[in-house]
Amino acid sequence: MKRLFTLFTLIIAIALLVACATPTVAPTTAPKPAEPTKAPAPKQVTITFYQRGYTAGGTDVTSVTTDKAIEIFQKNNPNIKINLVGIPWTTEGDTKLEAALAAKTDINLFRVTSVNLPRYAKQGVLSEITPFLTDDDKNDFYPSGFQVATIDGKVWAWPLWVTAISTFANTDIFKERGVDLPTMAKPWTWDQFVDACKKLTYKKADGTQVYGFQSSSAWGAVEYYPLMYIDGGRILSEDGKKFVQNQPNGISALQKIADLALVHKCTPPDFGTVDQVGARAQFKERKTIAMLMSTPGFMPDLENNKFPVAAIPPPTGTTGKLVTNGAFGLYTVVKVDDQDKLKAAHEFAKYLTGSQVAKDITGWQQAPGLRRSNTGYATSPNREVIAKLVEFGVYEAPVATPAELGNNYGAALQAIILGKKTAKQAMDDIAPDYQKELDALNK
Amino acid sequence: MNTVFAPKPTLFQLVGKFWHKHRWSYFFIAPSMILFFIFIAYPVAQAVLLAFQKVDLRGGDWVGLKNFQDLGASKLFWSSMQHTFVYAVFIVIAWITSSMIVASLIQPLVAPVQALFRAAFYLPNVISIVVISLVWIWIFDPDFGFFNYLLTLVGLPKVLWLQNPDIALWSIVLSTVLIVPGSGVVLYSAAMGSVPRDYYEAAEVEGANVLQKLLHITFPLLKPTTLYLTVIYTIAGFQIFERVYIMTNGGPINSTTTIVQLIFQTAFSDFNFGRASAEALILFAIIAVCSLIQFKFLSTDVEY
Repeated sequence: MKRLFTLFTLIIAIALLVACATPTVAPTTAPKPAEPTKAPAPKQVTITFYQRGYTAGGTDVTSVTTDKAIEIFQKNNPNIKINLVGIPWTTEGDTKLEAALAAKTDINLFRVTSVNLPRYAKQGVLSEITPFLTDDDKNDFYPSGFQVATIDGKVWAWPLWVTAISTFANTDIFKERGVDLPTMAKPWTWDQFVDACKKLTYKKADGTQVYGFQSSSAWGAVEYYPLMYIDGGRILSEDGKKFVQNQPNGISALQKIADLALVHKCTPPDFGTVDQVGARAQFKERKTIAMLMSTPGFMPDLENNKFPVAAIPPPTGTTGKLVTNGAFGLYTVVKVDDQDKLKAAHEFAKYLTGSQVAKDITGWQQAPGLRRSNTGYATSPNREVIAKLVEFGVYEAPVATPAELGNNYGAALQAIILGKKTAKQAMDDIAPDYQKELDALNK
Repeated sequence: MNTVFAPKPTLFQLVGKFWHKHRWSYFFIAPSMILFFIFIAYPVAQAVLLAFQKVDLRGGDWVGLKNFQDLGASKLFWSSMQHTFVYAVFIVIAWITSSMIVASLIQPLVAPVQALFRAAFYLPNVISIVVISLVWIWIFDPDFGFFNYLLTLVGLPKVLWLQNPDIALWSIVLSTVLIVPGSGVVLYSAAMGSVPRDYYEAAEVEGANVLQKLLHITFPLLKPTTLYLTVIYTIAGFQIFERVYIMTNGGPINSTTTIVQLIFQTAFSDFNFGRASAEALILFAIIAVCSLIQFKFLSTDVEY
């Protein structure tokens, strides 16, 4: 028994040693003699790129266009090899990304959300893009692109696009109710919008209830943001240091949104709590919504299904100005000591956010670009409307507020729409907590 | 006569003897113990340490009790605690009651029929909670949902089951308690089957009615099973997450946020692992205290 035990232990120990040993690879070819005086070839660099929404072998737009972008970039830059890691647009993807950044494993470039950018920048894991920008780049980008990527006076991400929110109109319902579509040249005023919303709320002959307006409004997926800015108000002051939505022009816009449900009753019962999937299903599958305020990401789905849709501008408020809002598509580079990798990662980010990639790959541009030279998105009348809205964008300064504050702010918006608080009450209640966090961040 | 004393064994000899006797035992439990230490003990110890740190991508800084102090000042934390308590209390009472009733209804049936009903009640346990929650979302849909359809049939107004912050939590409780837990039915059924018939016969001879038999024989003899189920269901109640995450995501107006959901948000939306660990530690303490109280009041010396 004793011998058997010793033998067993030895076998396991040897197996472990063998498994842990570093493999040595025997040279397969004899060493070549040194080449005579030839210019040194550029150093081979491999960079790791974390792409959101990418699935290896996937047939979706992101997966197909990303593969193609890498193929073209590698062909044009033979010394750079891209190692691609796909992560989903979910918490699982966030966690994988966060783990890679924390573990300081191979990660050189990734898609970043504008919400998370300030946190990463403050924690010192990113490489500033300014040294890699040419004068042409500086003139080509819209200022709003740099605005959302600027933290503490430095630009931390390459802006690709903005998901400029517009209103999608079901043209069949509009025709049925005899409502004319507004245009970019002649957008609806708020009163005209309310009149249309009420007219578009009706019961069909088969008993189906149709509602005039809907928008994703669950916290974390709010898509009625442009309406919050129509009276000239905003959430934070332009420098991001003061909470200002409790001022009259912020409150009046919020109350208008709530009144769509509470006074004019032209929104579905779940307005205020519905998420993006639910709101889009009501518009596209159930066809019970006349106007849906949403992001450009929904347009390909509608176009592919030949849905009777027209992109229309959001209504104007007391300022009389068109306004939109949306999230930004940004690529950011991780700070590493290896200067060759850093340079290669910025080169690749520049390509992914440039106007050339949109020309190289059909379908790459899923939202309006943030470069003046990038006109690849506006390929149909509906997309032209969305692209034109970009110049009317109002965006908040990037601020890394804690998730709990976001939760409480989201709850305040819901309380207004659900009629639990007036806009003034809700904003006055949240203002001290919001300001306290901003003050702490600005210390 | 000379007495020969054996020399006292040294510590080394004692250890050697012990090892010689038990080495195979340790050898066989080693794989599971190694896995336990790597995947359970070490992460738990790390989580306890994290609760006292501020953690970000640069690493952790020791902050003492600050995470706990911040939680004490957080309205969202206290409201999520309240929601969790309400949910746990209601589902424990409802599940214990419903499984006991169903088990007692099954009990008089013949064995094959009993087995059929046990299997039928256990069946929902093998269905993913995600699927069940999606079905409940449809049932609660304000326009096309089954519940509102029933209400309109009898001329009642539609209810915003998951959209009204005043009733959203109760809707989630309702969706939970309306499913009788299969584990409770099976365990109670087995426990009732093992109560000796003599006790009931003796009680009948003494003139006891059904209620008296239930109160003085069945309930006391089911106490060990009740204790086990109460502890298990309390833990399940405090750990409610998937159902809320899928059906309401904590809304509207944070009216359904529960403690595990808050932990998830703090850890994986805010990436504030220190605070999330502090929340998890508090949850652990609450569950431990509740279990101790339940053991204290429900444990029994009744044997049969």
